[in-house]
Amino acid sequence: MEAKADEWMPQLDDWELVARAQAGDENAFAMLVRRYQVPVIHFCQRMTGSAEDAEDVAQEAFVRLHRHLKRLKPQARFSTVLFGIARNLTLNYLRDMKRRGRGQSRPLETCPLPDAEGRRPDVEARMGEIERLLEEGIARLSPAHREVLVLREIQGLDYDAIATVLKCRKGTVKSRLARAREQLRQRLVSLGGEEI
Amino acid sequence: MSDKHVLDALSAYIDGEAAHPDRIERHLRRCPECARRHMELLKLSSHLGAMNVPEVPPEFLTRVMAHAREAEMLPARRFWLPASPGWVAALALIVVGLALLYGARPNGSTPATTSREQVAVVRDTTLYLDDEAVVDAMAKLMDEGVDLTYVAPDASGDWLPEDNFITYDEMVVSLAEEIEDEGGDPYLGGDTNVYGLIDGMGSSEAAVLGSLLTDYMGEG
Ligand SMILES: [Zn+2]
Repeated sequence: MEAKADEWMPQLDDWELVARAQAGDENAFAMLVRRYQVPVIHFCQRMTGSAEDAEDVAQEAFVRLHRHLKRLKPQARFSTVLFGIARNLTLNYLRDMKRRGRGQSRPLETCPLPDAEGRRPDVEARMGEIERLLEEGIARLSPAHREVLVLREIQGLDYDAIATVLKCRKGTVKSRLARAREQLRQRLVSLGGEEI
Repeated sequence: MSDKHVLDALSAYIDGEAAHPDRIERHLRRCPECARRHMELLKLSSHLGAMNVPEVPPEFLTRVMAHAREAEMLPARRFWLPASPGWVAALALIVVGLALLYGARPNGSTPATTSREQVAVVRDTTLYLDDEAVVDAMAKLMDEGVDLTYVAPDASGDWLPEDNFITYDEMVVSLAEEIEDEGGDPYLGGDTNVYGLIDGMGSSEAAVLGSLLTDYMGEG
């Protein structure tokens, strides 16, 4: 029974789950998916600007992970391997969109809706407004700036981990992130979020 | 000692990655302009961190598992699929890869000559090349002394020596940096756009490389 497996699975670290999955344990692989589905879909969503497509891209990332399982070696942090795959797929996605004439990723429509009684407390409205501005700002960043910002600010990866995902130097992470933040800050100000 | 503004260092500072945090801290106490920017960056960070997290439908896991199983069942595929639409894209990548490797600008007129024979093998996402075939063909080529570079969209070639492996986006990034160095914006503007460059590769160059590759891979 699956639930039974889950009772002990959470205690295993990522690479232990990978080792079990490599040996053919499907529950271990499923546990990895469960552990990372939210961050990976979230990452893809911010990169592609489409909630729907993000799920497809994330799904493909996990399928590829599964296909490459046998060759994975526990050397880097597991999350950097997974984000590396997801990141390449989002870049391919953006490239394909561009070919089809949809270069710019669109801001998501995740602004919270009023509740059943139509109430929407001020704080919540303000939060929704900020989120909308942020989404618009993120969508307008170049892919290189967007990915570094999302990996740092939304996924919480440190500079070393980001450098591993992007296969670049730490100094590049640092300078690119500073530029991404500055662009986003300026855009927020120009979009009307004077005091962010 | 000069007391310059620290605006450019604030991003690294809030991540605990600044080279001289003490200096920045001291400056922030005296400079309202930098202190204000510091606060703005902190707020920006906290807003970004508080963005809505997607809700994942329960079917997601089921779908992943089904597709993973399905992918496992697929028979080994042919190494090159010249007739597939992905082939064109793959060739474009090869040309860019070679232009980079030869130290020439992709749209430049003077490719630097080199005695090294280089072949780039591309694994395009649309092709799903069979891993074993790639490994075999590459090993064979390397045995023959061909200096070969594998351009891949992911880390699938990272078993190769570093000099023989470059990912698609490393290539894009180095191109982007080249364009940036010359004052262009690689992700905006028509022809100077990285993706535009890749898409705009000439078909004659592609054809030459295509036949070169077919010669090498044909026997495999
Ligand atoms: Zn200052």
